[in-house]
Amino acid sequence: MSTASPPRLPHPRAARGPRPEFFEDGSSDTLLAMNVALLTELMVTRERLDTLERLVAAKGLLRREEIDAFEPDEAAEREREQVRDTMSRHVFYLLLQQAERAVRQAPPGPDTGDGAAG
Amino acid sequence: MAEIPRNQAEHPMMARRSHDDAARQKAVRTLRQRLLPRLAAGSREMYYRTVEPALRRRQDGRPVEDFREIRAAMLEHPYVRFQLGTHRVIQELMYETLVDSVEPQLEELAEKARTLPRGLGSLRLDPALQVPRYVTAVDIHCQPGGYAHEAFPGDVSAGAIYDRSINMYQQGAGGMTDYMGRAVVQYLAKAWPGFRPRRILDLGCTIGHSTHAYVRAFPEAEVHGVDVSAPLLRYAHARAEALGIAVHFSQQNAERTDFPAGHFDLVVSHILAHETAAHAWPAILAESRRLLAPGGMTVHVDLPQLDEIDPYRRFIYANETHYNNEPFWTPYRLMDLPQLMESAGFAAAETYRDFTAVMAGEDRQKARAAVEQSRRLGHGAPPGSGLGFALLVGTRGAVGGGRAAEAA
Repeated sequence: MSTASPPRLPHPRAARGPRPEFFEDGSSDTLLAMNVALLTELMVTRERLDTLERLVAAKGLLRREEIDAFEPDEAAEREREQVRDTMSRHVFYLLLQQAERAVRQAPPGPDTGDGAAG
Repeated sequence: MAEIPRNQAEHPMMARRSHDDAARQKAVRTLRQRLLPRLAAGSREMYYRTVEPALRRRQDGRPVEDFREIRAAMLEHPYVRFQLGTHRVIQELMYETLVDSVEPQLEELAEKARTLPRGLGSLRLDPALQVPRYVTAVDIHCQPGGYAHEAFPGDVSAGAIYDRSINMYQQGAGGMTDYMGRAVVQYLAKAWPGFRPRRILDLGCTIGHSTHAYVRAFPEAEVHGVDVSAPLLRYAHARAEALGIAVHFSQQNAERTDFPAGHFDLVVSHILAHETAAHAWPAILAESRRLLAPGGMTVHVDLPQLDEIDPYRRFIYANETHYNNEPFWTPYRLMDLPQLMESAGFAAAETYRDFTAVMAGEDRQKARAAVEQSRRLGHGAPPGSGLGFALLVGTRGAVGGGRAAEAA
């Protein structure tokens, strides 16, 4: 243990030199970067799925056309709707939280009942 | 429209990549090579439809010449800011994905570079060499750590990252990624058909990807490459040996090498000029001249100077300095090249300015028309269309076989 060399420093991630800003508000630069990075991650997932489909097809377990022709039954459709709903709530979480805070701070109006952010 | 990117050839020195790392790198490549030209085309349309006419009206119909003025007007448009911002983000993501994938293998790659069978070429490092400040002041084109980052003895990280970045960055850089070297080889065959160099030197050779083109084209020649970065050269040497290509690499500053005067028939560089500095580039040209044997030739590959392209493309070019850590990119393109060549010792009759797109054109008239149209439209980044690479060529005396009549 005593002879172990110290761990090397991690490779730099940020390039030396000033980072230009393209928008008046620097947070828009951050948001743009996050969006483009997410796009690449989506492409990665899509590619992994494509690999899976091709391997499954190559093994003769199904043909790729079967995927395109697939019709979910009612139970599957309900589960999928749940997934879509969860994902959209996650992606829009900040906007939804803003609504929740607004509701929490404002006194209930005549027609809003208990003030839930629904 | 942008062509479908081709993969580069894998070789034993290359950093491995997982299924998802490969997908991530190709995703960035698609964004860089296919999305960015689309976004840039939008800005160009905006310029010629609205911005340019408005600027022209403002100055009583005089043509718009000043790229700084174009830049100020273009930045008024949110679309343009998104386009330029996306361009920068994709450059950063290229390295983010590469560092992520390469970093866990760094020790293994260093060991591989050290132990790979060799014997074709050679590697000569100089631990006392001072890496010039223009290489270390900022990380050029945003590669984290830059060209010379060395985290531990034997480190090859800069080379391993750079190798995979070429294919992600550059349209047409598939296969052996030696497209720039091949462009020069094709140029030589066309413009100087009798020229047979016996000793060749590639200045600022990085990982030797362009250098290899000369070994392939002139198998009887002795080929050398110099660079200031030890991590790049260690990688370059191992890469060349793994590919069975004989190159002699040495760690030297191209401003002044230790080769004897008149040692080489051909001295080349590839997109080196704009990554040097105002004091260094004249020195490198003078060193190129010093190293040439009688009848020898030097060819420096870069992109066109600003006065060789239309005002809109000048604005596009200058963005490299503003947004991509290329401090010398624009200053270099404002330099007087004939003057520099004269100061370096080349007579006017020994100095040539050629463009690969024109030289490669089977039909010279058609090629010229394409260049003219490209000048007018001011679109796209060469190579691929328009001028292609710009070659700064100097000879020492008469070159064997002379210059082809059609090149004149």
